[in-house]
Amino acid sequence: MLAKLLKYELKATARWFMPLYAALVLFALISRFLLYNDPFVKNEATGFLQIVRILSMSVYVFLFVGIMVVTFVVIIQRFYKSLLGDEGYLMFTLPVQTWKHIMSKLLIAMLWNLLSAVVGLCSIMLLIPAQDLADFGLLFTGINEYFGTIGYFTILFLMLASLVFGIIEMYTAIALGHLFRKHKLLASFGMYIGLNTISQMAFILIVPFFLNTIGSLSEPLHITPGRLNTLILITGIIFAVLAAVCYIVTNIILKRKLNLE
Amino acid sequence: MNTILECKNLSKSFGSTKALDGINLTIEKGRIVGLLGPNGSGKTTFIKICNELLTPTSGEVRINGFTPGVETKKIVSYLPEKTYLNDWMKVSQIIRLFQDFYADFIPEKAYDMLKRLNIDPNSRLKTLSKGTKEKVQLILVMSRDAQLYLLDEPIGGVDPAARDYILDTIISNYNENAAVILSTHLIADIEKVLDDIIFLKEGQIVLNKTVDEVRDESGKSVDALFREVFKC
Repeated sequence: MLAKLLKYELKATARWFMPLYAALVLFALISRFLLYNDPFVKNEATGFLQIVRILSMSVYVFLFVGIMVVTFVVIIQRFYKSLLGDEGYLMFTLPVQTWKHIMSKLLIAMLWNLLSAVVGLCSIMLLIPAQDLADFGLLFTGINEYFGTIGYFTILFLMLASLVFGIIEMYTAIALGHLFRKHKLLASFGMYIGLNTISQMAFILIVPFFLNTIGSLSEPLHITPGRLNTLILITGIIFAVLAAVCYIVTNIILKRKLNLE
Repeated sequence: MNTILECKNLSKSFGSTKALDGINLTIEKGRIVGLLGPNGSGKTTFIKICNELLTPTSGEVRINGFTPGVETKKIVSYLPEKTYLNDWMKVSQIIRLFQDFYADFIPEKAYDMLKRLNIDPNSRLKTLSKGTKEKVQLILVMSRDAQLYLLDEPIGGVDPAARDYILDTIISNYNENAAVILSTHLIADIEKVLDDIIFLKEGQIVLNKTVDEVRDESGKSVDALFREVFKC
C-alpha cells in the first residue's frame, strides 16, 4: 500500500515540478547561448541583444527562486491540504495505516528537495564558462584535504538527516497545531517556533559535551579529519534522533487525536 | 454473528458542547437504516467516528468486531457530506485510485453508473459542477461491494431525477450481508427505502424502531412523526 501511496503522491506533485524544471533548464540553455555565442556580434543590434540577455537571465533567476519557493510550499501544502483538509476524508478512509501516509509525504518531499537541488546545480553549471567549471574540482579537493574520503559519507549523512528533520519538523508543527480547536494555522506556526527552539537547545546542550571529548576546549583545538567527521556524525545523529521523535509524535497525533472538522 | 455495527456508551464533546451523548446502538446486516435528526443533532459526528475521522471522547464503536481502523476501512464504504475529490484528477483517474486501494471496488459498475448519469469519465473533476461531483462521489461509494455503507446526506445536493436514480441504486445494491446507514433530513424522499429509523436529538437517540412499527403504532408516516417529535 505504501508503494501505491507513493505513486499517487508523486503524480500529485510532479505536475508542479516537471514544467518548472523544464523551464529552468530551457532558460539556462537560452542564457548560455546568448552569453557565449553572440549571433549579433557582427550586427549593430547589440543593444537589442543586451535586452534579450537581461530578459532571459531575469526569467532564469525568477524560475530559480520560484522552484525554491514551490519546493517549500508543496511540502506544507501536501501535508496540510491532503491529510488535514477536505481531501483527508478520502485519504484517511483508505485502508492504509497512518504511518504510511506520513512516510509517503516525507519520501516524496525529500525526492523533490533533492531533485530541485540537483536541477538547480546543473542549471548553474550550464551558465558557468567551461574553463571555470574546473573550479568545482576544488570543492572535492577541499573535502579530501579536510575530511578525508570518509568525509563524503559523513557529510552526505548530515545533509540527509537535516533534510529529513527539516521536513518532518514542519509536519509535526502542523499536526500539533491541528490539536487546537481554533486558529490552527497560527498555532502551527507557534509550534514550529517552539520545535525549532527545542531542537536548537538539544544541539547547544549535546554538541559542547562532545567537543570536550574530541579535544580539550582549554587548548587550541587541533583540527583533524577524524575530529571533524566525529563532529559531523554527532550532529547528523542528533538530527536523525530529533526526526524520529517528530515522526512518532506526528503519527500518534494523526492516529489517536485526529479530528477532521 | 449478524451484527455489523455496535455502539457502547459513545460520547463526543467539542469543548463544552456535547455532540453525542451516550449512544447505545446495534445494527444488523441486511438493514437499511435512516439516521434522522435536525441539523446539529450529531448525525455527521456519529458517522465520522465510525470512519476514524473523529476520535470519541468516551465509549466505543465496533464494526464487524473491530474498532475503526484499517480492518474496518476495508469493509466500510463512506460518503462524506463534503467534497473530498481533489481538483486535478480526471474521473477515470479517481476510479483507478479506488480500484487500487479497495479490493471490493468494481470498476465496471462505476463506469456503468457514470454512463447512466451522463458523466464523461475523461472530464477533469475541476470542471464538474458541485452536484455532479456529489454524483461522482456517490458512484464511487456505491461501486464497492462493502459490508457497511455509511452515507452522509447522499441526496442533499442533487436534483430530484438523480435523487430517484440514487435511491434505486441503493435499493438495487441491497444484499443481505450488507447494511446501509444513511443520514438525512429529507425524510419524505427516502422513507420508502428504509427498514429502520433512528431519531437523533441533541446527541441522544430518542427513537429506534422499524418503519413498520412506526406505522403500526402511531399510524403516521415517518415524515409526520419526525415533524411531531422535532416540532420547534
